[in-house]
Amino acid sequence: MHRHKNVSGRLQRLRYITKVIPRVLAAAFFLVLTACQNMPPPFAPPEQRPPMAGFRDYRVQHVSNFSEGDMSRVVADILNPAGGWSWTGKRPTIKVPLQGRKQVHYVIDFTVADATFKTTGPVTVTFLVNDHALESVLYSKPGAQHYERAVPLEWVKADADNLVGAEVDKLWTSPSDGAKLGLILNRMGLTEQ
Amino acid sequence: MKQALAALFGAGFTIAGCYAAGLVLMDRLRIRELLRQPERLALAFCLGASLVHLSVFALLAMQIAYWPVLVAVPLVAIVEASRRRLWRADGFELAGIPKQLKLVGGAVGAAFFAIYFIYAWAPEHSPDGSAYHLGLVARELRAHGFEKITTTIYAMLGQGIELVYLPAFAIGRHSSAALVHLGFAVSLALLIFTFGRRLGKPWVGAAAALMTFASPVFGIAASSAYIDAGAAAVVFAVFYWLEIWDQERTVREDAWRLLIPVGLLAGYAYAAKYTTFPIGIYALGFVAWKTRRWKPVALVAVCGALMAGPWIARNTLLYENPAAPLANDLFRNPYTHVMFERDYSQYLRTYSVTDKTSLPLEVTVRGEKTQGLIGPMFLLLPIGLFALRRRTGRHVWLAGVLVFLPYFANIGTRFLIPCLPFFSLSIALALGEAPVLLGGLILLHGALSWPTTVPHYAAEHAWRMDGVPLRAALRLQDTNEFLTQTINPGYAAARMISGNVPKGEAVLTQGGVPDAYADREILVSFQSASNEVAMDIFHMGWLVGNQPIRAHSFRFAETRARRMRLQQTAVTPASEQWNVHEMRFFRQGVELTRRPEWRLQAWPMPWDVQMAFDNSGATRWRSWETPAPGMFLEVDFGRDEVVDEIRVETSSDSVSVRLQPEVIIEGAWQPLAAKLESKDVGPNLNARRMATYELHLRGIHYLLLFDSDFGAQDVRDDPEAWGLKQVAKADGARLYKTTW
Repeated sequence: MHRHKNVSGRLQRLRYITKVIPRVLAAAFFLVLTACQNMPPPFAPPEQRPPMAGFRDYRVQHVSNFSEGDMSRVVADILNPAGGWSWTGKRPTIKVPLQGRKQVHYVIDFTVADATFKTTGPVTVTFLVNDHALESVLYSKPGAQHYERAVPLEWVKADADNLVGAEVDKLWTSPSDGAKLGLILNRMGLTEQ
Repeated sequence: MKQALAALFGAGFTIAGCYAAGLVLMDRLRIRELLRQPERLALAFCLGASLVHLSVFALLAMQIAYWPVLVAVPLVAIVEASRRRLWRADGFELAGIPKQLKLVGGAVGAAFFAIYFIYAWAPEHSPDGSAYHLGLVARELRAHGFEKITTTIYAMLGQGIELVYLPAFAIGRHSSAALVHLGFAVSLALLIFTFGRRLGKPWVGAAAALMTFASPVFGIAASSAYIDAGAAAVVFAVFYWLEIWDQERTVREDAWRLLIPVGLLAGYAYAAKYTTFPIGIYALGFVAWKTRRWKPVALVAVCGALMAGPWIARNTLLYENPAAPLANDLFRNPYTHVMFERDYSQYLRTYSVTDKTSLPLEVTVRGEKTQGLIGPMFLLLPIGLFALRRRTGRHVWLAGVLVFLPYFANIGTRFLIPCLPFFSLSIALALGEAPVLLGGLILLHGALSWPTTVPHYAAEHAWRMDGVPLRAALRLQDTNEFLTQTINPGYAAARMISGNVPKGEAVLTQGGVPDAYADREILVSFQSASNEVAMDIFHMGWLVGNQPIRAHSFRFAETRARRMRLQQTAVTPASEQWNVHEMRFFRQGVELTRRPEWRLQAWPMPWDVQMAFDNSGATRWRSWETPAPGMFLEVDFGRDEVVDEIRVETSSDSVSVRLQPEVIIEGAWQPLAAKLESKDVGPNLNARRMATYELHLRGIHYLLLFDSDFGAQDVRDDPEAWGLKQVAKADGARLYKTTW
């Protein structure tokens, strides 16, 4: 009796495997077939775009604004800003990528701090592009300064990073931690006019 | 503090509503008495959650999901359960809990629950929770119903758990949803524990419950507005109901009624998370195997379809793909690109795990590449094979293996969560009802999973709890300040968007921002076909290689025809696409005017064909999948035209594509003997403005760029040349508006 029950159970299982499962799989297969290529009706041509009005050529403004914490281009000697003040070391430098050889202007905004000026006295700052000196300027008073000048075309490296920097002749040494500080740097970079 | 209390109330009310709904259905099915009293709570909650989800689905479909209506869903269930006096604790008890177990298990469970509770109660700051899980919930609440959202693939996924969050969110906002999720997690732990007690092995149940509950990845997911713990609870509930049915069917005629919750929950599991679908297969197979009759199987299938069917129908109707956002190769649609699905799936199958043999260690101990860890104690899983000696162990293993199978489609640690109850039970069952061993397991796993212990062995950036934000939970810390710190830099960007972008406007961005806090539509570049096209247009503005800098002319003898096409004939590398910026027809050097009678067709991506015929250098038709022979671009001129040249303007990034001009002759496509001439064309100096103009035409007037985004510096350096104006800046993100 027990054996008969076993045999009957196995037959039922066999029936399941041979009949029910193939039917389910066949149904699933046909369901998948319903996933036909979904082709919408053809489209008419769209509105044709006219030539663009108001053309203005792209002008690079690769100027890092350190008072906004823009440190993405920094290569050397520019400290992370604290309270919006970004101090430099001896030779603050950033890298500026340029596509093609372009006529660009060097631009920098910085401050000769009162506190450091008292110790260092007048400082000379040399403005640099790819290690070429644009000019050296003596600053005999503390305060905010702006400098801007066209960069000779032959100094510009096309499709490469260009090093833009400044060098200060005298550094102030902090009595508290010994840090050697130059200028407070606000903006520096290259622009197309 | 008011917000903190609202969050608690919203969650508590919704959880009570789910429990009540489950009790009512169990009472109506007359199966309530078949359950032991302690297991009723969690089983009723999960079952009720499925009903609440279905009710909310109906409200959303009817576009009447206003908050009072949503709140009425749990309320009606609570009132009905009270009317039927179903709250009473009656029925059979389970075997008692040993005193030592109460002490050890209770202490470990309570400690983990406490930190999870605080974490969940704090303002929601999880990556996915604050983005799409609650972003969609918030959007549905604002719209009072379903919208056809084609701009994010996440809107196409089932929202089985998220819809249960909706009533809670309507009352207590984001934290309420996370607390409801924690409710699912606690239910799961209770279910595993009572399952052990049902077997007469309370130590086994407790050890397995705590292995799952204390697992680091489970903890952080369960305490956030994710869905994984919810899905795991539903999956295990299916298994649990099946085990009860298996026990009862030999002694009760009406045990078939137990198959109704089995089917409902199996369907609900699919609605909650697609990858849990194998539990449905397990349920159908288990019932079929045990009964060898089609009626019980059909009952399970029909009940399952009741829960999963609405989502399949919604996706078919709205997204032309029942399995959206998957299976786009099978169900072609304009909303998700085949190439995106292929590439994203490939990433999800690998993350950055190059050596698969390191995967067990990665998901159990390190947790960096796969974003989370389940805990080192799960390395004991091979011991769990000893559980195969017993019938229950075999059931646990079979269900666990089936639920585990889809894991290989996404090897993120979080995708192991639905398997954890089965893994835990198999280990605990293998160790037997041995208090010393299991007590040690509980204590060791608890110690290793404690948030302050995990950093000692896990990778630095493993996704895990990094603190217990009690002050934020109690709203003693300013919520904005907390979210700015914890969702950095996204939260500040989200607030900037809310403050500067008018309602109804969308913002295109490359990475995600926490949508749940933005209340504007965020178009994340990779999350839909239309977003990918929009970002492709943006990049065409500054990447010369993407611009139409190559022109291919196919010259042939003058041919009179009504229909012409270019067929792609090459087998190309998988990473390549077929791109056509413009396709033009000429006769003796004069271009044929594109008349309104023309009809354009393409395969694949027929929906984008107009981009090859719009005379814009900032748009292009793309195959959005690997070019294959047979793909085509076709024009029906509406009348016979004489043509001797077809010109294709394209970019330099589809080098392997080979094209063959063809013409219809006597109803069949015939190749034209054509001579190909290719030449370079200079870059378009006005491409930037053309790109933003095209975005503007598509209704995209705002662009969010983080400083590190691709192309962000180019825009930052000269926004005017782009036709953009910077309108706001926050934490390294800039918001631009088109100037058109």
